Amino acid sequence: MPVEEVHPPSRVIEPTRNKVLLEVADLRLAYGSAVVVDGLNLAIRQGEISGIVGANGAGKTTLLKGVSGLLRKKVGKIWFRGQDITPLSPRKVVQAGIAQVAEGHRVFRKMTVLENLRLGAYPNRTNAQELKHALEQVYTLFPMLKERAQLRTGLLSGGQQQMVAIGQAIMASPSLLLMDEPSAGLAPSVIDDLAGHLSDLRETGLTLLVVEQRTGFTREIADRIWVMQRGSMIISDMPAEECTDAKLASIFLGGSGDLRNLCRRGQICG
Amino acid sequence: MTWSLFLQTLIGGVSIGCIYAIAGISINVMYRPGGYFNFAQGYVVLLGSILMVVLSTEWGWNWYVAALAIMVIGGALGGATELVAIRPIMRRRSSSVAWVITTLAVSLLLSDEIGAHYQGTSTTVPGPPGLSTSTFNLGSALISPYDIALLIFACLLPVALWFLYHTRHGLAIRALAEDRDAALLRGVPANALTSLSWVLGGALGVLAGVLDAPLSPPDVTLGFTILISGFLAVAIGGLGDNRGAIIGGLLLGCVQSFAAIEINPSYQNVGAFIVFLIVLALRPRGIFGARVLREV
Amino acid sequence: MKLPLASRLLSPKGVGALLLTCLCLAPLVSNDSYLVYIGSLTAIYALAAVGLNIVHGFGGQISLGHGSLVAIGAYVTAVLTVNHGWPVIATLVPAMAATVVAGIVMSLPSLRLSRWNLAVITMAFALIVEGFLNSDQGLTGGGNGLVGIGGLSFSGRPLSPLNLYGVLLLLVLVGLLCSWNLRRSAQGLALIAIRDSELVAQSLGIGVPRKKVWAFAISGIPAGLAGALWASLGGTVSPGQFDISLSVLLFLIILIGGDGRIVGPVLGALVMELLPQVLTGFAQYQLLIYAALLLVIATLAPEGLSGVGESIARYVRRLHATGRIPGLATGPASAAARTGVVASAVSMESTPGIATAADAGLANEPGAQPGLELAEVYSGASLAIEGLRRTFGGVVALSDVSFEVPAGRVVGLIGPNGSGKTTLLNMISGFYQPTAGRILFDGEVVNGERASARARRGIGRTFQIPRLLDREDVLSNVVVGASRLRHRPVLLWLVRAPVVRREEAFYRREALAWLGRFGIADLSDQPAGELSHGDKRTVEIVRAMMSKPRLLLLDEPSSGLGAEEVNKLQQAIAAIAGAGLTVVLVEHHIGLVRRVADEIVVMDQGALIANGPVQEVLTDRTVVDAYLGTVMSRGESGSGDGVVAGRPPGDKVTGPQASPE
Repeated sequence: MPVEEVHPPSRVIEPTRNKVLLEVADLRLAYGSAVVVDGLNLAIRQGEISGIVGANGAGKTTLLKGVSGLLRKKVGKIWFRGQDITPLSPRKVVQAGIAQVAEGHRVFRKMTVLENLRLGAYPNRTNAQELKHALEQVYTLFPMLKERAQLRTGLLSGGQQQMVAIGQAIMASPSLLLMDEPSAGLAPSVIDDLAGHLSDLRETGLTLLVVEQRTGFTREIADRIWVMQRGSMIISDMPAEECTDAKLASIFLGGSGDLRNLCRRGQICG
Repeated sequence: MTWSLFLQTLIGGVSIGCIYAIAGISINVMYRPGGYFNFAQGYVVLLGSILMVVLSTEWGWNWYVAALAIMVIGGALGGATELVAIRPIMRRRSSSVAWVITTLAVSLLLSDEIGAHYQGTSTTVPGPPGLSTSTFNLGSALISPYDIALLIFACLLPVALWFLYHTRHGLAIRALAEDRDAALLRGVPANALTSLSWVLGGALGVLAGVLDAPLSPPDVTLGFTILISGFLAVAIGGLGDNRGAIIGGLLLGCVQSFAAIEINPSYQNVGAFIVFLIVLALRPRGIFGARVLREV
Repeated sequence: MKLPLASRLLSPKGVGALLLTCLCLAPLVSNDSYLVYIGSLTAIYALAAVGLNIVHGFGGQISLGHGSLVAIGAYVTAVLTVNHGWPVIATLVPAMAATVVAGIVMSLPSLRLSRWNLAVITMAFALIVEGFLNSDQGLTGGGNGLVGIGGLSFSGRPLSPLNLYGVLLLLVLVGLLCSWNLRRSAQGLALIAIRDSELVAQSLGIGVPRKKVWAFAISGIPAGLAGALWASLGGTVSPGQFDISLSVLLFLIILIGGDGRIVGPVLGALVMELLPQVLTGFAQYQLLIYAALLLVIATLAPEGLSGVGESIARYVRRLHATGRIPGLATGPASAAARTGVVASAVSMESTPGIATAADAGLANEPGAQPGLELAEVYSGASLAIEGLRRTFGGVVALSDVSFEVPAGRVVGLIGPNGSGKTTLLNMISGFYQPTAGRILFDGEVVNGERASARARRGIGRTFQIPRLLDREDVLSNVVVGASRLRHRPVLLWLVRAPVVRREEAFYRREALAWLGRFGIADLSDQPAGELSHGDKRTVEIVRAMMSKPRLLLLDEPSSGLGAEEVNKLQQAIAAIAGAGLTVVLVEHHIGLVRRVADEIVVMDQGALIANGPVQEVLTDRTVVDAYLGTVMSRGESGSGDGVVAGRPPGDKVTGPQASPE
């Protein structure tokens, strides 16, 4: 079990009331010759929901892969609870307390819901008792999973699969949950439910790092927002209330700077 | 063809089909985690057969003890092959067929060792105590308790494996097979589980040989034929599916048996090959095979 | 840039070639009968291996049945001479013909199966052939085989062993030459494409299954000839000579010599024949050593001996570039400056003639951005999508998508992740088939056609991740793009007839011209795998243009590119469109789309949500919502969509802030 150490002062943000749980400094990640993440700095506070928004190609998924150890070749440093996790394998990262929900609600469709959940707890060698306890936790959060425990996951709807994916990650009893575009491919009402679930998760003491393309959703759920573009952060640690529609739209829909034609919700475009 | 000849041929075909099926299952088990199998598996089966002759007949060991000991050796062989012939390849740029070459090299090694130490025999090993190979009359055909036990065992094997694949590690292997990256994210150790699968595959491979020993004397020249038969059984049934391996193996055994009687012993391979072609023309992934979509 | 002969001879390649020549001539000089016999056997192995080299080295197809092809050649000769009294020389053509047919039969079953399926099938074929030869049908002599096959004779006079060796040497030389010419031919390039990326091959209009069978068929010629001469050399044939270990041996030969290298078969055969001579003391460990060799080479040096030679040569050249060893010339300075690796000056695998931009007379200063002017006019094709639908399992990836692209227009296809853009592109290019709906290319329905057929109609494309033939140089990567336009029969290529030499020069010039237009002509002789991401993308686009497409599909070409490179990309697309081509551009970079597209199609969750001129669509409310993704139900209930009231747009927020808690 990782020991909680005293944090060195964060190089990236001013820690406020909550401690810095995850910190990334000058991270550089590449796929072969394509550099996708470069000079990236990030710091996540404990007990908060932090959101990273960025258009496609910004490197968000790559960043998460780097943190969870799927990408082993890195330049830079990653600390989790004061421990340097930069070189760790995915298995070790999970054991250290970070679990990831991959994009596209990636669950094992050929396996049942229960099997998927059991798999989530795989690296922790939990005995039957602990397993049962963790399952109970998940079922409390997502009651409808309990009803469908024996169903093949492939038969569930997109939103339900997303819940299985989240449940799977929670089974590993993580301190930090990484989520890659959890709202992708979900119907609006389901996204609504999802937002509520994420809030509940935070109430249980879990820290969340949510990566998204959908900026509105991110503003809904996050306490802090980071904006990523082309491999690094262009806006760091902004309180969610300050992140406006207009600002984000200008980033995503083209750099012409002319925002007069940009319609706001509920208004008729002229 | 008389009814009794038909029945006899069928029984013979089913028995040899069980061996093919078990060999096929051993291929499935190795294949599951990573998508590689052992091109030396034919010689692994042969090894099991030969060792059984040595341990059981020449050294006089108890049948079951010998079988168990041989399975341990087979497991070790499987694990070693994975370490030497597969693991180094996986690290390099994913060359799609280097593993065929390296496991082929292992087959050369095995065939050489076997050829050097084994001169051939015409003895068949007696069956395990309680399951003799002496035949009795079932209707108009001759069948032995061993044949029956073999068939039951072969059919129970997929069931046993089903339970295995529902344990904690078995789940992890299935996850690895279905979506490697997602499984790694969950902390599944790919290397350890692949090794485990190859150990199991090696043990099952020699088991096929052990079970064949009471049926016919080991024939060194059949090394690759056994591999092909095992593979065809798997391909017909659907790669990765153990029920399919049973059906494929039994089908193959019967086709070979009838082809040998009806046409010509030398052409039994042709019959098997034709069945393979027909099945794959209709269902390119095998009877139980899953459809895979290509990533573009 | 050609080096003077002397320095070429002194290079590692030159020394190796010299040694090889000496080895080959040794038996002729010494006239020792044992040496001559060994030499002849080696030559026969090398000949057979040339065939396997075509199938595996060039085409990437694994064949464990080539030993049986040799067997068929040998037995045809044996049967014709022993049973029917033909002279050996008359049996050569029938032997080769039979082997070609066998090669076709062997490869047919595996066309749509995976590579190791092919391995097992070829193995099964070999076993079947062996079974047939062993059986007592009265033709092949069963297990005992046939004896009394005569030697080779010309006009009644039998050849002495020495002369036979000379003939064999000549045949091997011819085989290597044909191999080399095949490698440089359009068909050879197509095989390489199939080997390195079947997807790319299909997208360039190469009919993959047909080419695979073709490769097997062609490889039957040297294999059959080798078999026939084997029978004649040994005087007897029996099934035991041609069992599976012969196929494995042939594989060993090309792996050790260098898979896909021209001289590989010779090097490998030499090693495999000399090794037992060296190891006579260790005779019982022979197979063990073979096995160990195979393992080591497959794992550590998949390029084989000639690959090792190349590595040494490359290493030596790199030393020159840094000036440590004087004497040998270095490549163009600009290339060195750009990449730090000296452009290869001499390579036995690359063709002579126009090797570098300098030779072609195309000056190209790196960094200069030439105006992209396309002299040619392309006849763009129109595209119509009607009610297209695609489901995967239970998931609907595309539902009822319909739109039209008139000829010569540029359409931008945008939408969030999972919206189905790439699925749509894959369906237009033929890699996925629709579940329902129609695709019309220039008014013709093309639904049922496969990708390679669509490519031959003139649909060119790039991929989300650039897919190049990493081991080949950039020029070859570009030239292969013209595959669908090149139809000269392979026979002309084998003899390098003037007409194909002109064609080759033509396409190389054109490729260099294209590379020059994009400012990367100096990369032409670098291995494509070493390029930067942006350059790889550019090469992919150039390759697509080489096929003279009428519709160009670009799949997220700007991803991974920096701002400067995106600018260049924009100019390129603008020029391409200006020349009349129809372009469909899948993109996330809205700025780029805004600047080059005439129209935009917006997708979300598999459905088309907007379609029209650029400005209109980008200000459409639904589009804005899809991208900003405001939670709709919450928004409608009025609890706020996150926009802070009163904040004017364009308000700047400075960097990291510590907000007081």
